[in-house]
Amino acid sequence: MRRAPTLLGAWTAAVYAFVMAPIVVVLLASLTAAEYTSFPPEGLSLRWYLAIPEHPEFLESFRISLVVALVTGAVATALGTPAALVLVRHRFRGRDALNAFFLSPLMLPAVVLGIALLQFYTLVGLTRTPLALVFGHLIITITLPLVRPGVVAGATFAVIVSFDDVSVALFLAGPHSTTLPVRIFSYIEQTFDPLATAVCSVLILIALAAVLVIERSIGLGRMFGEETTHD
Amino acid sequence: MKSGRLAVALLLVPPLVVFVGLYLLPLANIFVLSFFGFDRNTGRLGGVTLANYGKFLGDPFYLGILWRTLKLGVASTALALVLGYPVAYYLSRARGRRRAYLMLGILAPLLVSVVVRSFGWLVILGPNGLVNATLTSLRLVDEPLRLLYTETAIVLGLTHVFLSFMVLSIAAALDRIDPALLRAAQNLGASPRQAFVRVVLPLSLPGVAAGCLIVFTLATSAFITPALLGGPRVKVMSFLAYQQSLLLSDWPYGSAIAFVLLAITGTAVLLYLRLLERGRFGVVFR
Repeated sequence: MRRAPTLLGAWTAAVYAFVMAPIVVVLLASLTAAEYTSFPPEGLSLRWYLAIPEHPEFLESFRISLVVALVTGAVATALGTPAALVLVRHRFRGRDALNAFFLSPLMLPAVVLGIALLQFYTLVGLTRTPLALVFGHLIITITLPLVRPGVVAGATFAVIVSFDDVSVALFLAGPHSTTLPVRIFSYIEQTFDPLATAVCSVLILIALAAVLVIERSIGLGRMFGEETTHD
Repeated sequence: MKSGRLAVALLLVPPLVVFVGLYLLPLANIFVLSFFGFDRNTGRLGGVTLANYGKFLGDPFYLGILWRTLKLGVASTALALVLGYPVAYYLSRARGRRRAYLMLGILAPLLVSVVVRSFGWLVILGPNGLVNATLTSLRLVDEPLRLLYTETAIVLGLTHVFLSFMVLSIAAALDRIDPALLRAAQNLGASPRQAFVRVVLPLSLPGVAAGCLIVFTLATSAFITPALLGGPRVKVMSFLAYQQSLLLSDWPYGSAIAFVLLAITGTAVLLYLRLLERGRFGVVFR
Protein backbone atom coordinates (compact mmCIF):
# COMPACT_ATOMS: atom_id res chain seq x y z
CA MET A 1 0.00 0.00 0.00
CA ARG A 2 3.01 2.33 0.06
CA ARG A 3 3.99 2.48 -3.60
CA ALA A 4 0.63 2.13 -5.31
CA PRO A 5 -0.80 5.46 -4.10
CA THR A 6 2.17 7.41 -5.51
CA LEU A 7 1.73 5.85 -8.94
CA LEU A 8 -1.97 6.57 -8.70
CA GLY A 9 -1.25 10.15 -7.66
CA ALA A 10 1.12 10.67 -10.60
CA TRP A 11 -1.47 9.29 -13.04
CA THR A 12 -4.14 11.56 -11.54
CA ALA A 13 -1.83 14.59 -11.82
CA ALA A 14 -1.13 13.75 -15.47
CA VAL A 15 -4.85 13.44 -16.26
CA TYR A 16 -5.56 16.77 -14.54
CA ALA A 17 -2.81 18.33 -16.66
CA PHE A 18 -4.55 16.89 -19.74
CA VAL A 19 -7.87 18.34 -18.56
CA MET A 20 -6.42 21.79 -17.89
CA ALA A 21 -4.04 21.96 -20.89
CA PRO A 22 -6.38 23.39 -23.57
CA ILE A 23 -7.71 26.02 -21.17
CA VAL A 24 -4.29 27.15 -19.96
CA VAL A 25 -2.89 27.12 -23.49
CA VAL A 26 -5.67 29.42 -24.76
CA LEU A 27 -5.13 31.85 -21.87
CA LEU A 28 -1.38 32.02 -22.51
CA ALA A 29 -1.65 32.14 -26.31
CA SER A 30 -4.00 35.13 -26.06
CA LEU A 31 -1.13 37.22 -24.66
CA THR A 32 0.85 36.98 -27.89
CA ALA A 33 2.16 40.10 -29.62
CA ALA A 34 2.32 38.34 -32.99
CA GLU A 35 -0.15 38.37 -35.87
CA TYR A 36 -0.80 34.64 -35.70
CA THR A 37 -1.68 32.17 -32.97
CA SER A 38 1.23 30.17 -31.65
CA PHE A 39 2.20 28.33 -28.53
CA PRO A 40 4.33 29.33 -26.75
CA PRO A 41 3.16 32.91 -27.56
CA GLU A 42 5.62 35.30 -29.18
CA GLY A 43 6.14 38.38 -27.08
CA LEU A 44 3.73 39.57 -24.47
CA SER A 45 0.91 42.05 -24.99
CA LEU A 46 -2.75 42.73 -24.43
CA ARG A 47 -3.24 43.98 -28.00
CA TRP A 48 -5.70 41.24 -28.93
CA TYR A 49 -7.89 42.03 -25.95
CA LEU A 50 -7.85 45.68 -26.96
CA ALA A 51 -8.86 44.58 -30.46
CA ILE A 52 -12.11 42.97 -29.22
CA PRO A 53 -14.07 46.29 -29.05
CA GLU A 54 -13.20 46.83 -32.72
CA HIS A 55 -15.45 43.84 -33.41
CA PRO A 56 -18.80 44.97 -31.98
CA GLU A 57 -20.43 41.73 -33.20
CA PHE A 58 -18.75 39.88 -30.32
CA LEU A 59 -20.12 42.35 -27.76
CA GLU A 60 -23.57 42.22 -29.36
CA SER A 61 -23.48 38.39 -29.22
CA PHE A 62 -22.39 38.47 -25.59
CA ARG A 63 -25.42 40.63 -24.78
CA ILE A 64 -27.75 38.22 -26.64
CA SER A 65 -26.23 35.19 -24.91
CA LEU A 66 -26.68 36.79 -21.52
CA VAL A 67 -30.32 37.79 -22.11
CA VAL A 68 -31.24 34.39 -23.58
CA ALA A 69 -29.50 32.56 -20.72
CA LEU A 70 -31.19 34.61 -17.98
CA VAL A 71 -34.67 34.36 -19.53
CA THR A 72 -34.17 30.61 -20.14
CA GLY A 73 -33.00 30.11 -16.56
CA ALA A 74 -36.00 31.97 -15.14
CA VAL A 75 -38.62 30.19 -17.29
CA ALA A 76 -37.00 26.75 -16.91
CA THR A 77 -36.98 27.17 -13.13
CA ALA A 78 -40.56 28.44 -13.01
CA LEU A 79 -41.85 25.53 -15.09
CA GLY A 80 -39.44 22.81 -14.04
CA THR A 81 -39.35 23.19 -10.26
CA PRO A 82 -43.07 22.49 -9.61
CA ALA A 83 -42.90 19.52 -11.99
CA ALA A 84 -39.80 18.24 -10.21
CA LEU A 85 -41.59 18.50 -6.85
CA VAL A 86 -44.56 16.55 -8.17
CA LEU A 87 -42.41 13.86 -9.75
CA VAL A 88 -40.28 13.42 -6.64
CA ARG A 89 -42.97 13.68 -3.93
CA HIS A 90 -45.96 11.95 -5.48
CA ARG A 91 -46.51 8.44 -6.75
CA PHE A 92 -48.98 7.98 -9.57
CA ARG A 93 -49.43 5.86 -12.63
CA GLY A 94 -47.21 6.95 -15.52
CA ARG A 95 -44.77 8.74 -13.24
CA ASP A 96 -41.73 6.84 -14.53
CA ALA A 97 -42.77 7.39 -18.13
CA LEU A 98 -43.22 11.11 -17.50
CA ASN A 99 -39.86 11.28 -15.77
CA ALA A 100 -38.19 9.56 -18.72
CA PHE A 101 -39.96 11.91 -21.12
CA PHE A 102 -38.67 15.01 -19.32
CA LEU A 103 -35.16 13.55 -19.10
CA SER A 104 -35.03 12.38 -22.73
CA PRO A 105 -33.60 15.62 -24.23
CA LEU A 106 -30.41 14.98 -22.24
CA MET A 107 -29.79 11.79 -24.24
CA LEU A 108 -30.98 13.17 -27.58
CA PRO A 109 -28.23 14.16 -30.05
CA ALA A 110 -28.24 17.96 -30.19
CA VAL A 111 -28.20 17.87 -33.98
CA VAL A 112 -31.55 16.01 -33.98
CA LEU A 113 -33.07 18.64 -31.72
CA GLY A 114 -31.52 21.41 -33.82
CA ILE A 115 -32.96 20.13 -37.11
CA ALA A 116 -36.35 19.40 -35.52
CA LEU A 117 -36.66 22.85 -33.95
CA LEU A 118 -35.48 24.80 -36.98
CA GLN A 119 -37.94 22.96 -39.24
CA PHE A 120 -40.73 23.54 -36.78
CA TYR A 121 -39.98 27.22 -36.16
CA THR A 122 -39.86 27.79 -39.91
CA LEU A 123 -43.36 26.31 -40.15
CA VAL A 124 -44.75 28.53 -37.41
CA GLY A 125 -42.78 31.64 -38.39
CA LEU A 126 -40.65 31.86 -35.25
CA THR A 127 -37.32 31.24 -36.87
CA ARG A 128 -34.14 33.24 -36.27
CA THR A 129 -35.44 35.19 -33.28
CA PRO A 130 -34.11 35.31 -29.70
CA LEU A 131 -37.42 33.75 -28.64
CA ALA A 132 -36.63 30.68 -30.74
CA LEU A 133 -33.35 30.36 -28.83
CA VAL A 134 -35.13 30.59 -25.47
CA PHE A 135 -37.64 27.92 -26.51
CA GLY A 136 -34.86 25.67 -27.78
CA HIS A 137 -32.84 26.07 -24.59
CA LEU A 138 -35.93 25.53 -22.48
CA ILE A 139 -36.11 21.95 -23.74
CA ILE A 140 -32.58 21.13 -22.61
CA THR A 141 -32.80 23.00 -19.29
CA ILE A 142 -36.34 22.42 -17.97
CA THR A 143 -35.15 18.98 -16.89
CA LEU A 144 -32.40 20.35 -14.68
CA PRO A 145 -34.52 20.99 -11.57
CA LEU A 146 -35.41 17.29 -11.84
CA VAL A 147 -31.86 16.15 -11.41
CA ARG A 148 -30.39 18.93 -9.22
CA PRO A 149 -31.08 19.30 -5.55
CA GLY A 150 -32.30 22.82 -4.79
CA VAL A 151 -33.94 25.58 -6.78
CA VAL A 152 -30.94 27.92 -6.89
CA ALA A 153 -28.60 25.16 -8.05
CA GLY A 154 -31.03 24.14 -10.79
CA ALA A 155 -31.55 27.71 -11.95
CA THR A 156 -27.82 28.47 -12.01
CA PHE A 157 -27.12 25.33 -13.97
CA ALA A 158 -29.87 26.19 -16.47
CA VAL A 159 -28.35 29.64 -17.05
CA ILE A 160 -24.91 28.11 -17.61
CA VAL A 161 -26.15 25.38 -19.97
CA SER A 162 -28.02 27.97 -22.02
CA PHE A 163 -25.08 30.39 -22.07
CA ASP A 164 -22.60 27.69 -23.16
CA ASP A 165 -24.77 25.88 -25.71
CA VAL A 166 -23.56 25.87 -29.31
CA SER A 167 -25.08 22.79 -30.95
CA VAL A 168 -28.72 23.83 -30.63
CA ALA A 169 -28.11 27.57 -30.97
CA LEU A 170 -26.21 27.02 -34.23
CA PHE A 171 -29.47 25.93 -35.86
CA LEU A 172 -31.66 28.59 -34.29
CA ALA A 173 -29.42 31.66 -34.44
CA GLY A 174 -30.28 34.38 -36.93
CA PRO A 175 -28.31 37.39 -38.15
CA HIS A 176 -29.55 39.41 -35.18
CA SER A 177 -29.71 36.62 -32.65
CA THR A 178 -26.28 34.98 -32.77
CA THR A 179 -25.09 33.88 -29.35
CA LEU A 180 -21.45 34.28 -28.37
CA PRO A 181 -20.46 30.58 -28.59
CA VAL A 182 -22.04 30.37 -32.06
CA ARG A 183 -20.23 33.57 -33.08
CA ILE A 184 -16.94 32.10 -31.88
CA PHE A 185 -17.63 28.77 -33.60
CA SER A 186 -18.28 30.45 -36.96
CA TYR A 187 -15.22 32.65 -36.47
CA ILE A 188 -12.74 29.88 -35.67
CA GLU A 189 -14.12 27.68 -38.42
CA GLN A 190 -12.62 30.28 -40.78
CA THR A 191 -9.48 31.34 -38.96
CA PHE A 192 -7.86 30.93 -35.59
CA ASP A 193 -6.07 34.21 -35.23
CA PRO A 194 -5.14 35.59 -31.78
CA LEU A 195 -8.41 37.55 -31.63
CA ALA A 196 -10.19 34.20 -31.20
CA THR A 197 -7.82 33.29 -28.35
CA ALA A 198 -8.58 36.61 -26.64
CA VAL A 199 -12.36 36.20 -26.95
CA CYS A 200 -12.13 32.58 -25.73
CA SER A 201 -9.98 33.74 -22.81
CA VAL A 202 -12.64 36.23 -21.79
CA LEU A 203 -15.15 33.36 -21.74
CA ILE A 204 -12.74 31.26 -19.66
CA LEU A 205 -12.30 34.11 -17.17
CA ILE A 206 -16.08 34.49 -16.92
CA ALA A 207 -16.39 30.73 -16.27
CA LEU A 208 -13.64 30.98 -13.65
CA ALA A 209 -15.52 33.80 -11.90
CA ALA A 210 -18.68 31.69 -12.06
CA VAL A 211 -16.82 28.73 -10.53
CA LEU A 212 -15.62 30.87 -7.62
CA VAL A 213 -19.03 32.42 -6.96
CA ILE A 214 -20.87 29.07 -7.21
CA GLU A 215 -18.32 27.23 -5.06
CA ARG A 216 -18.65 29.93 -2.35
CA SER A 217 -22.45 30.05 -2.45
CA ILE A 218 -24.11 26.77 -3.42
CA GLY A 219 -21.11 24.52 -4.00
CA LEU A 220 -20.09 23.33 -7.45
CA GLY A 221 -20.60 19.66 -6.59
CA ARG A 222 -24.12 20.40 -5.39
CA MET A 223 -24.94 22.19 -8.63
CA PHE A 224 -23.88 19.15 -10.61
CA GLY A 225 -26.09 17.00 -8.42
CA GLU A 226 -23.29 15.22 -6.58
CA GLU A 227 -24.54 13.08 -3.74
CA THR A 228 -22.88 14.66 -0.73
CA THR A 229 -21.93 11.63 1.29
CA HIS A 230 -19.03 13.41 2.99
CA ASP A 231 -18.58 16.58 5.08
CA MET B 1 -57.87 14.47 -1.50
CA LYS B 2 -59.51 15.07 -4.85
CA SER B 3 -58.63 18.78 -4.99
CA GLY B 4 -55.06 17.96 -3.90
CA ARG B 5 -54.68 15.57 -6.78
CA LEU B 6 -56.02 18.15 -9.18
CA ALA B 7 -53.55 20.76 -7.95
CA VAL B 8 -50.72 18.27 -8.43
CA ALA B 9 -51.87 17.52 -11.95
CA LEU B 10 -52.09 21.23 -12.74
CA LEU B 11 -48.43 21.72 -11.79
CA LEU B 12 -47.45 19.26 -14.50
CA VAL B 13 -49.52 20.91 -17.21
CA PRO B 14 -47.24 23.86 -18.17
CA PRO B 15 -44.05 21.84 -18.67
CA LEU B 16 -46.03 19.12 -20.44
CA VAL B 17 -47.54 21.64 -22.85
CA VAL B 18 -44.07 23.06 -23.55
CA PHE B 19 -42.63 19.59 -24.10
CA VAL B 20 -45.39 18.33 -26.35
CA GLY B 21 -45.62 21.54 -28.35
CA LEU B 22 -41.97 22.51 -28.63
CA TYR B 23 -40.27 19.12 -28.48
CA LEU B 24 -42.44 16.11 -29.32
CA LEU B 25 -44.26 17.81 -32.19
CA PRO B 26 -41.04 19.09 -33.86
CA LEU B 27 -39.47 15.62 -33.53
CA ALA B 28 -42.54 13.94 -35.02
CA ASN B 29 -42.48 16.50 -37.79
CA ILE B 30 -38.93 15.68 -38.94
CA PHE B 31 -39.57 11.97 -38.52
CA VAL B 32 -42.39 12.27 -41.06
CA LEU B 33 -40.21 14.57 -43.16
CA SER B 34 -37.48 11.91 -43.35
CA PHE B 35 -39.86 9.80 -45.48
CA PHE B 36 -40.39 12.58 -48.01
CA GLY B 37 -38.77 12.86 -51.40
CA PHE B 38 -36.81 15.99 -52.29
CA ASP B 39 -36.02 17.61 -55.60
CA ARG B 40 -32.66 19.32 -55.45
CA ASN B 41 -33.44 21.59 -58.41
CA THR B 42 -36.88 22.83 -57.47
CA GLY B 43 -36.47 22.31 -53.72
CA ARG B 44 -39.92 20.74 -53.69
CA LEU B 45 -40.96 17.89 -51.43
CA GLY B 46 -42.27 14.71 -53.06
CA GLY B 47 -44.38 11.74 -51.95
CA VAL B 48 -43.76 9.23 -49.17
CA THR B 49 -40.68 7.09 -49.78
CA LEU B 50 -37.92 5.12 -48.08
CA ALA B 51 -35.42 6.59 -50.53
CA ASN B 52 -33.60 8.75 -47.93
CA TYR B 53 -32.78 5.77 -45.73
CA GLY B 54 -31.99 3.69 -48.83
CA LYS B 55 -29.62 6.39 -50.08
CA PHE B 56 -27.77 6.37 -46.76
CA LEU B 57 -27.59 2.61 -46.23
CA GLY B 58 -26.75 1.88 -49.88
CA ASP B 59 -23.81 4.24 -50.28
CA PRO B 60 -20.35 3.20 -49.03
CA PHE B 61 -19.44 6.90 -48.63
CA TYR B 62 -22.23 7.52 -46.12
CA LEU B 63 -21.72 4.15 -44.42
CA GLY B 64 -18.07 5.11 -44.05
CA ILE B 65 -19.10 8.19 -42.11
CA LEU B 66 -21.34 6.06 -39.90
CA TRP B 67 -18.47 3.63 -39.29
CA ARG B 68 -16.08 6.48 -38.46
CA THR B 69 -18.59 7.98 -36.01
CA LEU B 70 -18.92 4.66 -34.19
CA LYS B 71 -15.15 4.13 -34.22
CA LEU B 72 -14.47 7.59 -32.78
CA GLY B 73 -17.21 7.06 -30.18
CA VAL B 74 -15.73 3.74 -29.03
CA ALA B 75 -12.15 5.09 -29.06
CA SER B 76 -13.00 8.16 -26.97
CA THR B 77 -15.01 6.05 -24.54
CA ALA B 78 -12.12 3.61 -24.13
CA LEU B 79 -9.57 6.41 -23.69
CA ALA B 80 -11.81 8.20 -21.17
CA LEU B 81 -12.18 4.94 -19.22
CA VAL B 82 -8.44 4.27 -19.14
CA LEU B 83 -7.64 7.85 -18.14
CA GLY B 84 -10.62 8.26 -15.84
CA TYR B 85 -10.82 5.08 -13.76
CA PRO B 86 -7.62 5.67 -11.74
CA VAL B 87 -8.61 9.32 -11.25
CA ALA B 88 -12.04 8.27 -9.95
CA TYR B 89 -10.37 5.77 -7.62
CA TYR B 90 -7.97 8.42 -6.33
CA LEU B 91 -10.85 10.89 -5.93
CA SER B 92 -13.03 8.43 -4.01
CA ARG B 93 -10.24 7.80 -1.51
CA ALA B 94 -9.40 11.47 -0.97
CA ARG B 95 -11.02 13.29 1.93
CA GLY B 96 -11.62 16.85 3.10
CA ARG B 97 -9.95 19.76 1.37
CA ARG B 98 -8.00 17.59 -1.07
CA ARG B 99 -11.20 15.95 -2.26
CA ALA B 100 -12.88 19.34 -2.68
CA TYR B 101 -10.03 20.61 -4.85
CA LEU B 102 -9.93 17.42 -6.93
CA MET B 103 -13.68 17.67 -7.46
CA LEU B 104 -13.33 21.32 -8.46
CA GLY B 105 -10.71 20.39 -11.07
CA ILE B 106 -13.06 17.83 -12.62
CA LEU B 107 -16.18 19.99 -12.53
CA ALA B 108 -14.82 23.46 -13.34
CA PRO B 109 -13.97 22.72 -17.02
CA LEU B 110 -17.64 21.79 -17.55
CA LEU B 111 -18.48 25.47 -17.11
CA VAL B 112 -16.33 26.43 -20.09
CA SER B 113 -18.16 26.20 -23.41
CA VAL B 114 -17.33 23.20 -25.62
CA VAL B 115 -16.33 25.64 -28.36
CA VAL B 116 -13.62 27.13 -26.17
CA ARG B 117 -12.32 23.78 -24.96
CA SER B 118 -12.15 22.37 -28.50
CA PHE B 119 -10.48 25.58 -29.62
CA GLY B 120 -7.77 24.89 -27.04
CA TRP B 121 -6.92 21.70 -28.94
CA LEU B 122 -6.66 23.72 -32.16
CA VAL B 123 -3.97 25.80 -30.46
CA ILE B 124 -2.20 22.74 -29.03
CA LEU B 125 -2.25 20.65 -32.22
CA GLY B 126 -1.95 23.45 -34.79
CA PRO B 127 1.10 23.96 -37.02
CA ASN B 128 2.51 26.51 -34.54
CA GLY B 129 1.04 24.75 -31.55
CA LEU B 130 2.44 23.27 -28.39
CA VAL B 131 3.10 19.79 -29.77
CA ASN B 132 4.77 20.90 -32.98
CA ALA B 133 6.80 23.60 -31.21
CA THR B 134 8.11 20.97 -28.79
CA LEU B 135 8.88 18.43 -31.52
CA THR B 136 10.70 20.96 -33.75
CA SER B 137 12.70 22.48 -30.89
CA LEU B 138 13.84 19.00 -29.88
CA ARG B 139 14.67 18.46 -33.56
CA LEU B 140 12.54 15.34 -33.63
CA VAL B 141 10.82 16.52 -36.80
CA ASP B 142 11.97 18.85 -39.57
CA GLU B 143 8.63 20.39 -40.40
CA PRO B 144 5.38 20.63 -38.41
CA LEU B 145 3.33 17.44 -38.36
CA ARG B 146 -0.22 17.57 -39.59
CA LEU B 147 -2.08 16.77 -36.36
CA LEU B 148 -5.17 18.85 -36.90
CA TYR B 149 -8.08 17.67 -39.01
CA THR B 150 -7.35 14.03 -38.21
CA GLU B 151 -9.31 11.33 -36.40
CA THR B 152 -6.71 11.37 -33.61
CA ALA B 153 -7.39 15.06 -33.00
CA ILE B 154 -11.13 14.35 -32.75
CA VAL B 155 -10.61 11.48 -30.28
CA LEU B 156 -8.39 13.67 -28.09
CA GLY B 157 -10.93 16.49 -28.15
CA LEU B 158 -13.93 14.24 -27.45
CA THR B 159 -12.13 12.44 -24.62
CA HIS B 160 -11.19 15.76 -23.09
CA VAL B 161 -14.69 17.22 -23.33
CA PHE B 162 -16.47 14.19 -21.84
CA LEU B 163 -13.85 12.77 -19.43
CA SER B 164 -15.47 14.48 -16.43
CA PHE B 165 -18.67 12.46 -16.87
CA MET B 166 -16.71 9.20 -16.83
CA VAL B 167 -14.82 10.18 -13.67
CA LEU B 168 -17.98 11.35 -11.91
CA SER B 169 -19.94 8.16 -12.73
CA ILE B 170 -17.18 5.84 -11.57
CA ALA B 171 -16.41 7.91 -8.47
CA ALA B 172 -20.10 7.83 -7.51
CA ALA B 173 -20.10 4.02 -7.73
CA LEU B 174 -16.85 3.77 -5.75
CA ASP B 175 -18.23 6.10 -3.09
CA ARG B 176 -21.18 3.77 -2.56
CA ILE B 177 -18.95 0.82 -1.69
CA ASP B 178 -19.16 0.04 2.02
CA PRO B 179 -15.65 0.37 3.49
CA ALA B 180 -16.49 -2.56 5.78
CA LEU B 181 -16.39 -4.85 2.74
CA LEU B 182 -12.76 -3.92 2.12
CA ARG B 183 -11.81 -4.44 5.75
CA ALA B 184 -13.59 -7.78 5.69
CA ALA B 185 -11.68 -8.86 2.58
CA GLN B 186 -8.37 -7.91 4.16
CA ASN B 187 -9.23 -9.59 7.47
CA LEU B 188 -9.94 -12.73 5.50
CA GLY B 189 -6.42 -12.54 4.10
CA ALA B 190 -6.84 -10.78 0.77
CA SER B 191 -3.89 -8.71 -0.40
CA PRO B 192 -4.71 -5.10 -1.38
CA ARG B 193 -4.50 -6.16 -5.02
CA GLN B 194 -6.86 -9.09 -4.45
CA ALA B 195 -9.26 -6.89 -2.51
CA PHE B 196 -9.29 -4.45 -5.40
CA VAL B 197 -9.77 -7.05 -8.12
CA ARG B 198 -12.32 -9.17 -6.26
CA VAL B 199 -14.27 -6.51 -4.33
CA VAL B 200 -13.77 -2.94 -5.51
CA LEU B 201 -13.58 -3.52 -9.26
CA PRO B 202 -16.78 -5.62 -9.57
CA LEU B 203 -18.69 -3.20 -7.34
CA SER B 204 -17.58 -0.24 -9.46
CA LEU B 205 -18.79 -1.80 -12.74
CA PRO B 206 -22.20 -0.10 -12.61
CA GLY B 207 -20.40 3.24 -12.57
CA VAL B 208 -18.16 2.10 -15.42
CA ALA B 209 -21.20 1.06 -17.45
CA ALA B 210 -23.01 4.33 -16.77
CA GLY B 211 -19.89 6.36 -17.58
CA CYS B 212 -19.30 4.45 -20.81
CA LEU B 213 -22.92 4.92 -21.86
CA ILE B 214 -22.80 8.67 -21.22
CA VAL B 215 -19.46 9.20 -22.96
CA PHE B 216 -20.36 6.97 -25.92
CA THR B 217 -23.73 8.65 -26.58
CA LEU B 218 -22.27 12.12 -26.15
CA ALA B 219 -19.23 11.33 -28.31
CA THR B 220 -21.19 9.75 -31.17
CA SER B 221 -23.66 12.63 -31.23
CA ALA B 222 -21.03 15.34 -30.68
CA PHE B 223 -20.99 18.01 -33.29
CA ILE B 224 -18.87 21.00 -32.35
CA THR B 225 -15.66 19.17 -31.42
CA PRO B 226 -15.49 16.98 -34.59
CA ALA B 227 -16.44 19.97 -36.75
CA LEU B 228 -13.56 22.06 -35.37
CA LEU B 229 -10.88 19.38 -35.00
CA GLY B 230 -11.82 17.22 -37.99
CA GLY B 231 -12.91 19.93 -40.37
CA PRO B 232 -15.10 19.19 -43.41
CA ARG B 233 -12.76 16.41 -44.53
CA VAL B 234 -13.14 14.15 -41.48
CA LYS B 235 -16.93 14.21 -41.30
CA VAL B 236 -19.04 12.52 -38.62
CA MET B 237 -22.79 11.79 -38.58
CA SER B 238 -23.83 15.00 -36.79
CA PHE B 239 -21.85 17.13 -39.19
CA LEU B 240 -23.32 15.26 -42.16
CA ALA B 241 -26.86 15.83 -40.88
CA TYR B 242 -26.06 19.51 -40.31
CA GLN B 243 -24.51 19.87 -43.75
CA GLN B 244 -27.35 18.12 -45.60
CA SER B 245 -30.12 20.03 -43.85
CA LEU B 246 -28.79 23.47 -43.03
CA LEU B 247 -26.15 24.00 -45.71
CA LEU B 248 -27.64 22.01 -48.64
CA SER B 249 -31.30 22.50 -47.60
CA ASP B 250 -32.09 18.80 -48.19
CA TRP B 251 -34.18 18.59 -45.03
CA PRO B 252 -35.67 15.14 -45.70
CA TYR B 253 -32.20 13.57 -46.12
CA GLY B 254 -30.76 15.53 -43.19
CA SER B 255 -33.65 14.32 -41.03
CA ALA B 256 -33.11 10.71 -42.12
CA ILE B 257 -29.41 10.93 -41.15
CA ALA B 258 -30.41 12.47 -37.81
CA PHE B 259 -32.71 9.50 -37.15
CA VAL B 260 -30.02 6.96 -38.07
CA LEU B 261 -27.84 8.68 -35.46
CA LEU B 262 -30.70 8.66 -32.96
CA ALA B 263 -31.18 4.93 -33.61
CA ILE B 264 -27.54 4.32 -32.61
CA THR B 265 -27.59 6.33 -29.40
CA GLY B 266 -31.06 4.95 -28.63
CA THR B 267 -29.77 1.38 -29.02
CA ALA B 268 -26.91 2.15 -26.63
CA VAL B 269 -29.36 3.46 -24.03
CA LEU B 270 -31.64 0.42 -24.41
CA LEU B 271 -28.69 -1.98 -24.11
CA TYR B 272 -27.68 -0.20 -20.93
CA LEU B 273 -31.19 -0.41 -19.46
CA ARG B 274 -31.27 -4.12 -20.34
CA LEU B 275 -27.98 -4.56 -18.51
CA LEU B 276 -29.33 -2.63 -15.58
CA GLU B 277 -32.44 -4.78 -15.32
CA ARG B 278 -31.24 -8.32 -15.57
CA GLY B 279 -27.68 -8.46 -16.84
CA ARG B 280 -24.95 -10.11 -14.87
CA PHE B 281 -24.51 -6.83 -13.00
CA GLY B 282 -28.09 -7.16 -11.82
CA VAL B 283 -27.13 -7.76 -8.23
CA VAL B 284 -24.63 -4.96 -8.24
CA PHE B 285 -26.85 -2.19 -9.60
CA ARG B 286 -28.88 -0.44 -6.98
